[in-house]
Amino acid sequence: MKKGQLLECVGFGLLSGLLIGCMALIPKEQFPRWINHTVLDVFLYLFAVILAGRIRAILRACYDSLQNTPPSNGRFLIMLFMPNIAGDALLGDLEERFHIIARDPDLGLRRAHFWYWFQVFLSLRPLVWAGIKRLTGLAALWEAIRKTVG
Amino acid sequence: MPTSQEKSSRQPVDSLGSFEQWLLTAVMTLGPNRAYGMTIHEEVERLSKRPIVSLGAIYTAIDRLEKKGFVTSKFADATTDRGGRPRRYVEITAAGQRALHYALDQAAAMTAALRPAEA
Repeated sequence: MKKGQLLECVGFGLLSGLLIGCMALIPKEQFPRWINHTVLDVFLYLFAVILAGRIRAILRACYDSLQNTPPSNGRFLIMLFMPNIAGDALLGDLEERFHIIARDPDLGLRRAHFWYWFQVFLSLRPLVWAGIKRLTGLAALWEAIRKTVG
Repeated sequence: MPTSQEKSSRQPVDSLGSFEQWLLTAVMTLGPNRAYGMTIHEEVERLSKRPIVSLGAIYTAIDRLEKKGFVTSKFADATTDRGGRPRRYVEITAAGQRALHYALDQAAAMTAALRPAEA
């Protein structure tokens, strides 16, 4: 998180707390006559919407600044099922394309993350299947059947 | 009717699946210095018009073809953009080219056989 964002977050939080505190502490009888329940509710609703929007924007900025690298959990999953130099090359290809998508102004970091996870999940099926065949000797059996049958 | 000797001289030991044919075609069109995982993936998507092809499938198919002796691969060019990870460059062998041409001949024979029936 950048210093400016942190200050903005703290400042907005303090201001919000102050306003909500004042509204909760001051009895409704002491409000001017034109402030009735409906006006107060509309005001509170708008305030909540603005507050939620600001928090969302700040969180998104923090997330984007932190996540300009490919997801480590995705890397872990690939290395789990392809723990060799080929798996390393596969991760390199994913990372190369991740940065290309992230740098594209039309696509961006969010799309890059989505593409990365999408490719990890798509890649798991053939990798797991290849691993199962290798471990159980099914590959050799399948090849023998193919060569016999033609 | 071809004899078994004629048949064995023309037919490669291992046949190719549809995906493997696309992969070998992509490797051939890219050439040995440009064919690595990412470019092969893009080329297979472009040529086969399949919208979704997984990189994992490309790598397992390369492993399979390498075991059959249809391609060779080498690891090189570990750049910072790739997190220091190498590229896997793939090159088609003579046996791979033969197998691909055999598969294409088979497809052409099937097309020719179907054409009079369609007309």
